[in-house]
Amino acid sequence: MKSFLILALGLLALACAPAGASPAPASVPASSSASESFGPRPSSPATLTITAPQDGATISGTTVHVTLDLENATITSTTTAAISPTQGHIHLYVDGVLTSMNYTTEQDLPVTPGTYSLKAEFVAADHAPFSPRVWSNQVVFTVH
Amino acid sequence: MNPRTRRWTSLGSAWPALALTALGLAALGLAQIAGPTHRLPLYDGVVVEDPYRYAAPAPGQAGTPGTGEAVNQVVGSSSPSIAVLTSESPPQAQLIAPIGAFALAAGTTSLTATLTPLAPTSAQTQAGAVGNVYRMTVTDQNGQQVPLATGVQATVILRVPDQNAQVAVGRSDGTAFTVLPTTTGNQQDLLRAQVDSLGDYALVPGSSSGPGPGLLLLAGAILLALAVFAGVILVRRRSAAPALAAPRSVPAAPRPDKARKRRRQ
Repeated sequence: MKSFLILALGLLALACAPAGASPAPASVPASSSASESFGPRPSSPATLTITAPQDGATISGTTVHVTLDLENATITSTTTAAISPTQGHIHLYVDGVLTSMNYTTEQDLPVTPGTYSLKAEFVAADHAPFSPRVWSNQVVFTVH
Repeated sequence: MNPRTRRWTSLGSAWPALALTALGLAALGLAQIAGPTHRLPLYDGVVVEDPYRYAAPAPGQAGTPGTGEAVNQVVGSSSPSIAVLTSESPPQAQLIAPIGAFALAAGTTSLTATLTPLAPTSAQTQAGAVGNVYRMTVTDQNGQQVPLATGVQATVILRVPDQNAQVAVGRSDGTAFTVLPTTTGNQQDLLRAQVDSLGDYALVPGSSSGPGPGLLLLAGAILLALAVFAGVILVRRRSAAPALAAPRSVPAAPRPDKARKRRRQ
């Protein structure tokens, strides 16, 4: 009887778990088109520019200070499905790999010696991209 | 008692559990119907990697690997920085070159960098090629190959198809591979090598070194801090143990307010 009750309570708990929790989490592909992966997406008037490091910069140390210039939009720290074309987050890609998601236009990234490519994307408040995607310029920097 | 009645009576004690089970199943069904399973969830911090795509996939492997192309305009006499990536996430191949890495002929106006995945030839397979061979080229506006400048290196990054494989970046001469010094990139399955010429590159049996000195220093500092912390706790516990065990020999002094009361009395 006791084990039956436990089983029943387990089933009830399972039923109360959110149904959306089991599917795979949202992926953030670096290169495919937004609508291909995320369904219909709004466009954004935002423009994003990496102002530091400059293309071709040589850096010493273990971090690179990244600064961005975002125009026609603002950064929100809220993650929500109620998205707006002029509000969102910044995703930083180092060598095509999503390295950081942040709510500011400045960030220090840990680096080791080598040559790297850096690109940033302005994404909506649900962390999914706009369509067309809002990419920054790409810079290549070297760490000694 | 009638055996039939007895069965119902024993079932009667299980009714609460049966009701709970039914309630749970009903809630499960409702959650599946009403839940947003068809919608993508909000980003939860996990990046889902594409499977490795093979140019010649075996059964069960993903095919149609992406290519990469970047066209860069030449301004002045130096070649621009070049970063070209294949389209997977994370990219399966990358070529990164700093400003001035290529030896430009007079009149060069643009450079086109391309990455083309190829199935390894039988000779390359015998030489141990793992995954695709990537042909990396940089051409000018007339389609002429542009070599790297003397003494300048570019970075080749290849993604490991199988994380358990002990591999390094190798340069192919058509049949054999030259294994290059290889390090892990900003992700464990991305291997980097410095190259002084373009051509065909693939992963071949070999070894790669771990993270750079910066990360090793950080790991060492964390370990040292943990050791110091553990040492401090150990010393404090040892010094506290006899004090707790010893009986109190001196009676506690009376509290000032109690002493004042006694004086008044």
